[in-house]
Amino acid sequence: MRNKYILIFLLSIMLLLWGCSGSPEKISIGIIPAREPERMLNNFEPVRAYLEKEIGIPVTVTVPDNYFGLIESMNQNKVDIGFLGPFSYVTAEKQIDLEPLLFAARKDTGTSYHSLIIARKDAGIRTIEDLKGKKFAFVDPGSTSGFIIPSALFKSRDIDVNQYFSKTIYSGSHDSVVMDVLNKKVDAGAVADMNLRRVMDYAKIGNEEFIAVWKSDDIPGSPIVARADLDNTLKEKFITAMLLIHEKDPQAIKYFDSNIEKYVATDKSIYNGVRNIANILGEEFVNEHFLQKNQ
Amino acid sequence: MRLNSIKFIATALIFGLGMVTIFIFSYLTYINTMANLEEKYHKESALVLKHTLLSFQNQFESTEKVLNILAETGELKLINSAIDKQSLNSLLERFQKTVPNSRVMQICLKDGQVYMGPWMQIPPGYDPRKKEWYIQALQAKGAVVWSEPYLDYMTQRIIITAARQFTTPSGDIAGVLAIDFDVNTISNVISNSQIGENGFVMLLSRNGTVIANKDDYMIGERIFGADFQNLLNSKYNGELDYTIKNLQYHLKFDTIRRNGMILVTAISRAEINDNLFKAFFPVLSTGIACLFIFCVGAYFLTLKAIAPLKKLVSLMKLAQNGDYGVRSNIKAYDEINSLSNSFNSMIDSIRKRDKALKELNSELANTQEILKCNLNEMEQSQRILKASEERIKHLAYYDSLTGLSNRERLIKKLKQAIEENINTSGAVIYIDLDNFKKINDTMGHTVGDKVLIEVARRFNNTVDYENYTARIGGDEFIIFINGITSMDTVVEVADKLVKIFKEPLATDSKSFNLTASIGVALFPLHGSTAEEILKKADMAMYKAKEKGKNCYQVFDESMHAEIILKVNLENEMRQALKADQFTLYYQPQYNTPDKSIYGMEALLRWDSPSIDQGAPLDIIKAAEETGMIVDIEKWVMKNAFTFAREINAIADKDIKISVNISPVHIMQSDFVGNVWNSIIEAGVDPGFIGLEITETVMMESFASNKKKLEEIKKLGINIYLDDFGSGYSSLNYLQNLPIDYVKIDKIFVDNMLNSDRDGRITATIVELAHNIGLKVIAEGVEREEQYNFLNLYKCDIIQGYYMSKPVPRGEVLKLLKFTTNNCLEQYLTDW
Repeated sequence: MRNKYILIFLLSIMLLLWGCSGSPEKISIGIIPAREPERMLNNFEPVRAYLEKEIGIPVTVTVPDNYFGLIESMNQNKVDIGFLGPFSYVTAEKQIDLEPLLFAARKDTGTSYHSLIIARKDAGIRTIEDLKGKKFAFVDPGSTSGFIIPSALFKSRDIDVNQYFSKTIYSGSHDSVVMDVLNKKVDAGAVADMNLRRVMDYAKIGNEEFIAVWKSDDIPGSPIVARADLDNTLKEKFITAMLLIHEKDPQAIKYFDSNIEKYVATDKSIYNGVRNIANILGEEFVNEHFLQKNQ
Repeated sequence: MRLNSIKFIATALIFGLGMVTIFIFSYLTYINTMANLEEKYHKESALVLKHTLLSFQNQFESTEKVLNILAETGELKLINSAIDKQSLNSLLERFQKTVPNSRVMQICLKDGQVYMGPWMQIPPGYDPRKKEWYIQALQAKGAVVWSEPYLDYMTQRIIITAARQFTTPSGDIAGVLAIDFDVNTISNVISNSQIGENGFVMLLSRNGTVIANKDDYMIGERIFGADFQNLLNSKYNGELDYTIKNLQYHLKFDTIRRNGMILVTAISRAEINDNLFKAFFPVLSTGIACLFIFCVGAYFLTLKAIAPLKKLVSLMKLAQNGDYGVRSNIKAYDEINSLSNSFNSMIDSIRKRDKALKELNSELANTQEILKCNLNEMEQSQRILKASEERIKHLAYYDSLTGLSNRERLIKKLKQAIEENINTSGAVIYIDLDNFKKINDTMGHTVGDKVLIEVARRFNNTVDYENYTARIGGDEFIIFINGITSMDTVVEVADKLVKIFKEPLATDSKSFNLTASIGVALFPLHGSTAEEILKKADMAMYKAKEKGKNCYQVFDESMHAEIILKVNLENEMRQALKADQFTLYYQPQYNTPDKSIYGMEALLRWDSPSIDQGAPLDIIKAAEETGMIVDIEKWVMKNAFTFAREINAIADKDIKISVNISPVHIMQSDFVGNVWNSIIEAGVDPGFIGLEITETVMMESFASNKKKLEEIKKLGINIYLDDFGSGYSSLNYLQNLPIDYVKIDKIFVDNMLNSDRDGRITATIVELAHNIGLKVIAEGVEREEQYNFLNLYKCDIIQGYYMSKPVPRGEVLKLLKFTTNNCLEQYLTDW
């Protein structure tokens, strides 16, 4: 009788401990293809290695095709921590319990960035009104600066994109939008200013090539988001590692994105502005262009 | 700790009471804290709501006031006639500043011209007439309309717009006045208002869209969706619980009367609960800590309190294990003391009881011991009884002397063998020791018994076949052999049995020469029943004896016939005795010198038609064998003695009448009595009587027979030794027996003239007899030469045909005539 009680007591203690100590054996990170996937993986490798060392468990990296793919991967628990954009984060949040951990502080723009509508200088496009009847490139339906913010612009101007432009395309990445505009595949395109600068640096494109027809308000930087159910200790380890990466392993961060000065902590409310814009655009719009389109 | 121990119960009691107390206390605290917290939050919420409501009302009132004033200003009335951009812009600038938080004021004319003040760049594509608020303002006559949040054409920020039409002095619609508010700016007003940590204040449009919120959260969302219209129902009384984005809130709301916008304050449930927990946790933890301390305290106190009890229990355990020497000297509480005293009394009682039990026990043990002894004795008796039984059984079936079977057992076995084995043969061997009586007589019974034992032993060693050897009488044995295959086997066994007597029987340094007569009968050849076979073996044995003893004889049917004859003879003799068929003849004996009658020998004559008269010896023999001889001789004595009295009564001289007495009769124990009775009966003088005995009478039981004869002699009866010279003719007899006369056997008389030797023997006998004082009678004298010879040698008396043949009683007188007078003749004629 007595033994039975002791047994039950011990069992419950063990169960409790087991429940507490159920930390994952590896951590999986997903990043969006701002560039070609192989290059992304290659550029991210030093960061991955750094994280593995700091956290102490294997770290894997996947590069899904697009934002939607990354959200799906997180939804299916295939990815624990995702490098999302602001809009893809607030959209994903409607389906998944997520927690924004960090975002990058950039050397030029700080923690925020801007959406630009660029055109070749020689195209003679100077205003939004000039874009009428032209070919236009978005990045991806999940991109904040490459789709949502420009869409908000068009909405504020009561512009129906399908009628206004002769053609709209999704180039897939910011780099591609830049290249498509440069190569006259389109007349103009939406792109994040930080990406534009990097592509121009990388591809040795002179300032004389492009003209910014429009520049958005500040957009909060892309968050690194963890699934809310991810082990707290692990989250803390990850946050600490990333907060210190610019000191501990500056080369890694430089190799990944030389524009990033460091990572800083973020929180949900920072993205309220993006959420509000999405609200104004309406659920239907988001579903039509982003979520349903990808399904 | 066992569940039903005092320790457990006490601890559990304290624990339970503590639990209940803590529960009640905690519950009350919880209710109280909860009420306090909620009150605090609700107050705060109500306050914020009221305050914010006033603030917004103010703002919207002033906005509308400004719009109304502007609409009535002279400049606007004149706008179509005298358009002075400069003055309009400055007008706008002046008015816009009077509206707090406003972003821009614009004058939109019917023709699409827009004025926004001097610093605003108006994009060429901007046409306010397409805007919702413009259309609504036109329809709303002089009232101010408020738009839903939307994206600003110029900045792409989220704004709301308050709009009002204005008219020309003539009353025609000239255009619309509008003031834009950045929702961001409105939110900033609200953001300063705190309702706890996570509570919020929201401004909703008439359609339920969030216009302003802390941190710009959820702007543009219709958080109540379809519930919005219900929310405005009076039933909620401006208060309800609602879940927003999976979080529970307590909402208070009020409508801004001016423009129909709704102000909502929300208290976070989770926050209240958090705070509740924070307030409650110290109370609860203190309670639990106290409870723990109480329990431990209670446990140890109980432990201390029940220590005397435990001690008492250990004492009781000692007692339980049989140590009744324990005593409790516990001094604690009254109850325990009482228990302790009771325990002591109990122990005393137990000890007393134990003592009594012990005594009882020892008594019981004694009784048991006694019973055990009795039982042993009984068992002993039983054993003895059993042994006796065995012995009785043995005695019933075995001969006590030799250990051989007895008659009963033998017969039983024989019967059994006959009944069971119909197809097998067996033999019954009947053994009678010859002359054993002599050993008993001469050496005593002790020696005789030893001889018998030795004989039995020899029998047992001799017969190899399955057999039963039995002693059935004094010196009679029967050996029953079962399962013989041929006659030869039986002959072999019989031969061996005869031969075992060749070795002298030695007992106690004496040895005896003994022989046996053996009769053999076979079954089923000689009979089908045990009795028949035994009888026939007996017959064969007698035959063997007749043949001269020391031999065996196998039964044959002639023996049976002989027996039959004897039996018949016996019957007839018995008949004859009854029917008086016997007669006595008398042969006179004469004094040799003068030929005068000396006496007469009575001779038995039997006139039986069935009996061959020529075999009187056989008859006598038969009579002897059957024992009839005694009766016959009694009859003879009676008649002969009577005759002796009568004849001597009339005769002038004594005439002795002699009768022949069989040895068988002499052997009878009442022989002397018989003789004496006959004499008494006849009334005769014993001196007239003579008994003729043969030598054979002395062969057996010499001593007792001699004694009887001496008694007879003492009575005055004369004794004749008959047939002297035919048997052993021992001189010893002549000397020792109490005889008066010796009768020389006819054989001597017949031969004495032919054989010189016989003549001399006769003469010697006569002389010898005379020498020892005996008279001699010669028998069978038939011729004169014989008479002469006997006379010569002084034989006293002669008997035989020379003088007279045996004559019947009637003729005796004739013979007497020659020697007696007439008187006698007279008498005899009458008789």
